[in-house]
This record gives sequence, structure tokens and C-alpha cells, in this order.
Amino acid sequence: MDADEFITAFDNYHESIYRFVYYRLNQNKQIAEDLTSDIFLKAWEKRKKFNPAKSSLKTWLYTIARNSVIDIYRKKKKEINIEDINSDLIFSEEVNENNNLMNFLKAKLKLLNESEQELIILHYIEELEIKEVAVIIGKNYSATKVAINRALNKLKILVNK
Amino acid sequence: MKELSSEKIEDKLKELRNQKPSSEWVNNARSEIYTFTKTNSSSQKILFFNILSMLKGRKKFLIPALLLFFTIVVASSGLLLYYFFGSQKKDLNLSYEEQQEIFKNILKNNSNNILAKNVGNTNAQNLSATDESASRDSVASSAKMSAPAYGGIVGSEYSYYYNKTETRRGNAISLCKAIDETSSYSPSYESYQYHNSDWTENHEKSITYSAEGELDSYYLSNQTSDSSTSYEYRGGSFAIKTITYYQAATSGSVDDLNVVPNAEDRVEINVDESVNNEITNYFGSDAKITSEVTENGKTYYVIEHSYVQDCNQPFYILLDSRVPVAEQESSPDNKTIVVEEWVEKDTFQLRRSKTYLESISEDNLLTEIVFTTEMSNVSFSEVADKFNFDYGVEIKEQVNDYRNYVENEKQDIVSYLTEENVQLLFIDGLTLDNIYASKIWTDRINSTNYYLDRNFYPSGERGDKMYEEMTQFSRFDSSTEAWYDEALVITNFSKLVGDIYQSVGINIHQSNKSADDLLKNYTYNPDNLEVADVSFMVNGVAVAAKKYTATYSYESMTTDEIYYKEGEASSSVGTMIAPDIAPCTEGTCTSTSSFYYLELNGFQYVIQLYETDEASLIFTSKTMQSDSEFIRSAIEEMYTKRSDVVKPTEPMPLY
Repeated sequence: MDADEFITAFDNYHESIYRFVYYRLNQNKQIAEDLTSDIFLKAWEKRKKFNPAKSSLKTWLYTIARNSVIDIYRKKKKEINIEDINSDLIFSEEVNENNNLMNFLKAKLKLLNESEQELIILHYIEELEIKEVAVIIGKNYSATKVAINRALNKLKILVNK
Repeated sequence: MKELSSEKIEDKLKELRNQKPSSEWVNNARSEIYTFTKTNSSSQKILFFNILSMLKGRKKFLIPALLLFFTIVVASSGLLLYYFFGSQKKDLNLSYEEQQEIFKNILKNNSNNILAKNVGNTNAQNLSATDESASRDSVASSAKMSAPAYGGIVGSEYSYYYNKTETRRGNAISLCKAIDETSSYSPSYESYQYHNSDWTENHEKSITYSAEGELDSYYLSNQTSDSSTSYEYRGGSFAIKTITYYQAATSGSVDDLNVVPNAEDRVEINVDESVNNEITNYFGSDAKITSEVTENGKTYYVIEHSYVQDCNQPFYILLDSRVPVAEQESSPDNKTIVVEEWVEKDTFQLRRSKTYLESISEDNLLTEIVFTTEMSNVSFSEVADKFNFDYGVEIKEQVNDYRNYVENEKQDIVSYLTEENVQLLFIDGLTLDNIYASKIWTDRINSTNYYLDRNFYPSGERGDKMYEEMTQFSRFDSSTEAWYDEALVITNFSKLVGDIYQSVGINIHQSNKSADDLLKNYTYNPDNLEVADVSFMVNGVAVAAKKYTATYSYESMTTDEIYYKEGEASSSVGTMIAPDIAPCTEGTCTSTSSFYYLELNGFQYVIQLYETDEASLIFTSKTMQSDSEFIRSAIEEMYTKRSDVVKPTEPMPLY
């Protein structure tokens, strides 16, 4: 992958990767933007490891994003302090009903565990196919499908309880 | 608050896609990455080779679709300027409203196949598709459970269209690789379309040819609201006929899982705004009708617009690459593409489209596309002969029947459990949530992999090449290998206790692997793994089992309890269901993930608990031979229970 192709990949996928990170990291815009930059820089450094026979460029980038989020969860990063972790959500309250519903849903999304969150994000928000999600999370198709169903089921319970 | 259905939640989740990074960040990040990649390209050649390999497969596979896409996009999204000496030209300065009215008439008087901006292939059935699925082949497209939606907001004036496009490459084509590649394949395209007044009956045939006039692809679809019959042919010894029966639109039965929004959920559509959006979608945001030109007694509107194209852009992402000039980042390979389209004033039909590099001149001509369009308002019987399959080759038939999809799926599962005599474990007090048998999916894939049959392509070198291109297409392999060799059956059980959603996942294997080896796939490289002997009650008897407890170390993250809802499992580590992880705020923390393993009658069971106490589990083993009614009843209950949550299982897509 040469630099121009990589820039093009950035142009095409940065919004998706940003969104994935944003929703996985407590819906904090600043952290999501920082990490998305890191992810693309990391992807460039790891470009030799990209095997198009195994995954598409898109799923490969999602995989790097996922691992980066896991890294953050598993290893505290000094630059992220408690204040940073505060969600944007509380600052973005809107009065209209739809936005209230959206914020309500975003809040409930955060109550899912990490695995469930990423499944909901990848399949329902990013609209990735189940087999793409399966590649990203390293599970088989059926298990992924089951897990997605479970996650939606749980979200529904959380939303309606 | 009114209870939200699963469908409503899914819809709202899609709206969360509106979340975008700030434009300031995008600019900075792009600039940073641009600098970083330009100054850090030591291993560029190696990966570039990989990318080329990937593109080779994709490119060749997508070439017919993308050429058509390009043809259609170029034709529909810009302006036509036709320099013809001796013609009379009158500059126009139309108001916005006048211009929109003309655009609207163009939408009405040209077929979707010509105008649709995002059509990725000749076989596209759902013209609103914008993602990569739009470029998939016909079977994937046709494998829909619901009838595809046709028609736009503006609508069409005619019931029948014949279109032909011929693409000529201009003097400057070698200066823009991206457009060069798209225009080099299948330069000739024909399509026939018919729809009835309410678009419930749609017929479509599209054919592409190489520069030498050889058939590249052929697709015929006859679709009603209940079913569709399609034919696909690539010049080989056989064609594929696919009959798809759609599920009913509304029946209220368990089988009917289509969402029909109730009155409260309906969104009021601003028609004017929607029409304007559609116009923008087709013609681009900066399209302007610049002049009228009269030639040979006919007057044409000349429409002009431009967009920025990275001329070195990889072929496969060209679909998403058209960016209005005003929104485009600067890049050395970005070139302005100027498009001119000529639309006949009397008929509003698109007649010619030219694309130029940077500015309008014959030296800068990239492509010229000439459109031939015939249209009329006729009954189907008058044009029915256009929609017959045209080749006298063997026809292999496949059927996708979604009318009783849930019932069929139930039957497939029951048949599999019966044939393989799989021993299921049920849990007292918990109900079956899901049951999947992997083999059902592999069988479905194997029954539709005619793309990998050499005889689907013409004999000789050209067919060899087409076949090779398809076999190289990477996504096919990756779609099957990931889960082919995994658990025979996956089951999930649950119950709701107060607010707590208790569940148990049981994966049933029958492998030659030892327990330790099998569990490696589940525990995923833990920092520490402990194995303890436990036992479960199965059929009233204590059965020895093992508990694998994987421990993962990580540094504390935050005190913000939003990260970890108190007492709730939370981790991405592990491969089955979320393992346990405790809130951790200081120092080095650990998370654990536990799996249970037991064997019974030659089957291996990997069990994971979620919000469930292991001591509370009492299992009962069941097989179809011994407990047919029980299992059937549990499956029936499962489908009833999940019908409001889960749509019918999709057929496995080919790509």
C-alpha cells in the first residue's frame, strides 16, 4: 500500500473508525479523535501485515481499532484522565424528543458490556454484515450471530426496563 | 415512555451513524497522516504488492459492475457539452426553480439504469443501495427476503425503457488511471426495463460486452411482489436460474417479520426537499444548466458540473470517491473532472456525456458516452419478448424460498439434529434462546457456489481468465473458512430474574481435540489459566467437568463507573460471550473468564455462564431420537419468543 492509497483509505474509512471508537470509548469525542489518528498511524506502520486474502481493508482497519480499544481498556494510558472520560452526552442534551431518545439510547448503549457494545456498534450502527463482524472479533459466523442477537436482546431490555 | 420494539431500536441505532468527527480534526489528521506516510514509506513496495494482488482479484471481478457504475454516474451526475461546429448556442441564466424543474423532468424521462448514481452493477435491483453490497453479484442481490423497492420520489413517466451506452475513450484517458481502468472494460452496455404503474411488477435485462463485442455478463430478472426469477449467464456451458419467493408483506404471523411502521412511527416526508435531494443525488450538488445548443434541428440543454477525483485512486474504492470540489482536500493526485451532459430539450432524455480532465477541450477528453434510449408506455405483453432468457444453454435452477423461511429453518435444524443425533443439553429453569447448526450454513453456501465452476465461463483463454478472476476474489474464501470447522451446534439459554438477564451459552463440539486444546480457542492467550475439577448434574447424575479460569492482567483505567457498570461483566477478551471483569480503579487489575467443559456420549460441551451461578445449573440431555417432542417444542417456543427481536436468519451471502 503506498502513501496515496493509504490516504484514500483514510478518506473512506475515518468516519467509520471514528464512530466505532467513539461509541466504544464512552462517547468521548476528544478521545475518539485522538485514538482514530493513532489507529491510522498504527495501520500505516503495520501495513505489511495486511493480508487482503484474509480480510478486506475495511475489516482490517476495524480489527486494529478494536485491538486499540482493548489496549486502552487493558492498559491505562497516562494521557487519558478522568475528566477526559466524561461523556459528551451530558453536554449535548437537546430538547426535542428524537434527540432525547437518541441520547437515551446512547446512554443505554454504554450500559452494555464491551463485547455487546462492539457488536451493536459494528452490526447495527456501522451496518457491517455478520461475517464481517465475525472476522473483526475473531469468532465464527454462528457464534457472532448469536452474540449479536443476545446483545440486541439485552439492549432492548435495558431500554424498556 | 412507550416501549420500544427491536425494530425501532435498530432504526434508532442506525441514526447513531450521524456521529462524526469534527472537520478540524479530519483536516489535521489527514494532514498528519499524509506527512507521516510520505516520510515513512520504507516498506511501501512490499505492501503495495499485496494491495495489487488484492486489487487484481477485486478489480477484475468488479470491472463489469464498476464500468457500468462509472458509465451511469458520469452520465447522470454532470453536464453534457457537445461541441459541434456550426451549432447554435444560447447561454442560459436560469433561476434555481427553473433549473430544478428541468432536472425533475430529466429524472422522469430517463430510466433508473441511466440515472442512478449509486448503481454498482448491471444487476442492481435495489437502486438505493449505496454500500458495497450494491456491487455484489446477482445472487446476493436476489437473495432478499422482501421484494426490492423500486421507483424514486420523482417517479418515471414511462413503463418501458431500452438503453444502450457506448463508451469511447478520449485523448487524455491515460492521464487519469482511475477513470482509465473503469472505462477499459465492458464499454458497451444494454438494458431493458419494464415496470407496471405501481412498480409491483418489474422486469429488467442488462447485458455488457467487451470492446471486442464478446459477452461479459448477462442478467435477466422478472419480479413481482411475491417472487422473482432471474437468470445469470457469463458465456459458459450453463446459466443459473434463481427463483426467489418473498415472504408476505403483512400477515401478522411469526413468519412475517417485515416491519410495517405504525402511524406514530411514520416520518413525515417533505416532498420538495426529497425531490431536491434526489436531484442532487443524480446530478451532483453543483450542476448547472449553462446553455441550449441546437444541432440538426434538435435543441439540447447543456448541463455542466465537476468533481474532484484522485486519479491514482485504487479502483475498488472509486465508488465512494467522488467528492464535490468544494469539499475536497488538496492532494497532488486530485484532479478536477469536468462533466458535460446533453439532454434533449423536447424529451428530456440524456443523449451524450463527456468527461474532461481539468477543463473542457478535446485534448482533455477522458471519455465520451453516447446514450440511445427508447421508451414508451406499453403493457407488458407488448414487450414480454424482451424479457425471455436468450441463450440455449443448460439452465441450473436454484430456489430461495422465504415464504416459510422460519418454518424451513426450523425444519433444517430439526433434520440436522436428527441426522447427526446431536445430544443437546437443556437447563432447568432456562429457556432456549438460540440454536444454530453450522452445517446448515455451509450446505447453503456450497449449493450456490457456481461462480467457482469453471464451466460457468466461456471455454478458452478468456474464460480461464474470468474463472481465475473469480477464484481469486478473496472474500469468497474468507466467508467460509472462519466458522466451517467450529462447533456443531451452538445453543443459548436464558431467563430474566428481575432486571438481571441470566444466560448460558453451550457450544457442542465433536472434535479430535483434547479439552485443553479445544479451550485454547476460547480462552485466547490468557496471562494465567487454571483448570479445576467440578461437576454438574446431568440427568440426575453428577458428571465430571472442568472449569477453565483464564486470567488477564491490565492496568486500571478509570474510576468512572460508566465504563464498568457495577457488578456487570465487561470485557472484550475471550471468544464466546463476555467474560467476567470487575471494576478496577487502581494499580494492576485482573479480569477473569471462565469456561466449563464436559463430555457426554462422544460430544464435547463448552459452557459459559453469564450472570448465572454454576451451582444452580441442572442439565438434562436430549436427543431427537429420545425426546423429539421436547426439542421441537423448545425450538418452536424459541422462534415464537424471538420473533419480535430477531429477524429470520439471513441466507449466507456468497461474498
